[in-house]
Amino acid sequence: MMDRILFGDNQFLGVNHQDPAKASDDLARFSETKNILEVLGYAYDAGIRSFVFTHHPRFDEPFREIRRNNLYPDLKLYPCLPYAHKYNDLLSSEPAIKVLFKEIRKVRATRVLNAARAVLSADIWRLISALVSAEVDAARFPRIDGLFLQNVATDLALGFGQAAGLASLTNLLRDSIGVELGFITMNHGRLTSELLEHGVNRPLICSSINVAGYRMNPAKSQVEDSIRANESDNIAMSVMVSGIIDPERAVEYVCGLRGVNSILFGSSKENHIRSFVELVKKFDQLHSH
Amino acid sequence: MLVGGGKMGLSHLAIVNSLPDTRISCVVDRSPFIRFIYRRLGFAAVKSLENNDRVLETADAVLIASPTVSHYPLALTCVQAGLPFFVEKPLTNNYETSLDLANRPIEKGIPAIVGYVNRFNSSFARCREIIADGRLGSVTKYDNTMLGAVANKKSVTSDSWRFDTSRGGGCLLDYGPHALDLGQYLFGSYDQVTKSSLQRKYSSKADDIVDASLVHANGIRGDVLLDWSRSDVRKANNEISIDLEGARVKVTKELIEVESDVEAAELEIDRGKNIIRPTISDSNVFYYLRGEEFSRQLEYFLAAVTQTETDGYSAFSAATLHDGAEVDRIISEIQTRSSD
Repeated sequence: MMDRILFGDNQFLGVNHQDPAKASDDLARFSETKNILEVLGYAYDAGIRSFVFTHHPRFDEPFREIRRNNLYPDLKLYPCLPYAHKYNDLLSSEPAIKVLFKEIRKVRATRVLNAARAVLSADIWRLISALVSAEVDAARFPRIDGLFLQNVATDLALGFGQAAGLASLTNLLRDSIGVELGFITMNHGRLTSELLEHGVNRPLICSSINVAGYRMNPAKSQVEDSIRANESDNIAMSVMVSGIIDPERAVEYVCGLRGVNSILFGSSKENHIRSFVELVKKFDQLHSH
Repeated sequence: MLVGGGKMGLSHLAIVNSLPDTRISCVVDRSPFIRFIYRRLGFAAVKSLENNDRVLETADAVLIASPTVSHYPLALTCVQAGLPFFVEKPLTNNYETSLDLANRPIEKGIPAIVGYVNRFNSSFARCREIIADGRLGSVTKYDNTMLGAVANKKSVTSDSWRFDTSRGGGCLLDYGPHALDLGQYLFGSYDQVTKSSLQRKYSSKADDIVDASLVHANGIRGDVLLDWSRSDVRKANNEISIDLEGARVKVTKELIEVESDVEAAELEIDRGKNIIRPTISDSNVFYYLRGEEFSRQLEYFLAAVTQTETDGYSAFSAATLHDGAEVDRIISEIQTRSSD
């Protein structure tokens, strides 16, 4: 079971869907390792013990520091793969087959057999599993407690009618890396029902859930129904829509929605992190009575 | 049917395939590897449309997402066959061939649209309505910028076509279509380019920075700045600052900022500073892959193909072949003027 509050990384990567100026400031500020470590420290001190992050070169150095100095020893790490922009950039300039072979060559010696089998059998999902394993090996995360598939990848596969492939990927990765795979998606209802259909028991799903209904496709009410159905473990992201929604209202909504197991949020300010944690405690208590 | 199984093709297929009662009948791609992958994923795939009349006959509509050089012959095939088509931007990168396509008679009711996706972003669409409404006065001038981080010391050393103008690369050909179409979408058709310069920063065979001044048919003047060599930007973004008689407006994909001298209750604009976020209030799409606008433009196209009523789309208008040809004309004028 995942923690109730998970710390996210949008601020570190300069991602802000509503405020390009803040995004640009963050992009510069968090090019420095010490600034990332400092903010992770705020979250840790506020009692947060899970960090969900995009696999991105920006975290290489902070993770080296964490390993070297055994910082935040109880902080669980959940990388989100693949780093979509990397593949996007690669595919903009090179043919797909070149990219594939370049990436698959990075696979670790112990996994060569798996990778070779994937290539020979031309089983796309074995191939993707080999690519993901290679990416995880090369990254040398200080630890790994779970893995998420980025929404572009999840939703692309879903659009291709490959829910069975996504289901098999959860098994392949459990075998090769030994962790559970969760899915980030912008299409909660459809993904959940198709994964269930293909035998995934209580799929772990992270999606946009907020009082404004932002990015809850095809409609807010349908996503709420899918969450309340209680057939998946649900992580709410974009709860404040990049800071547009008042935190009190945002947290009240998401804590009040039955079926939301965890809340993913990011911030670069110590007081915001603390008050968010307090708000979640307050509304959870309210709803437990 | 989808022509071109590359990056854009992947995205179009995933979206179209997720809409109700819509399936991709066949993927056309020259690469054997790409065809192999699509077949493994359960789609029919062929090398080309030549000598493949059956493939055309079984399709109700065509999505063209192949390299730009192939757009003209493919679009022409669709025009001649009377098939609805959606062609990725830019239309052909060549004004004469684009104009030839635009001038061909197309049977009424057969949609032919160019994939200028920003038109389906609700922030730009709302901004267009605000300008057209007239309550904030006429536009006096505007600045149209697009900044991104494609070119840097390292990336330009690759042998990629992206950094070679002779192979269709460079900032003008890459960013130009996006920004220039937004310009005509918001301010009407162009008259001409009055000034332009193409500069290099990192690339040796392509432009990295484009600076141009334009005048529209209605007399509105604007400046365009395209720069894909900015390290301080994570993702390419368009920003347009507009001076109107009664307000200053700044629009991005995310929001519209209005500093207004007048109150316009009908537009929900107060005197002073206003922030409007249309992308929050109407963000939902039937199937989301990578931005609402990508889903919306295909939903719009397919609704036009099947002649379904689309009450949700009244605010949006796709780029026609004429719009596509206009962008190609302005790009070539920018090139010619800068070498003067």
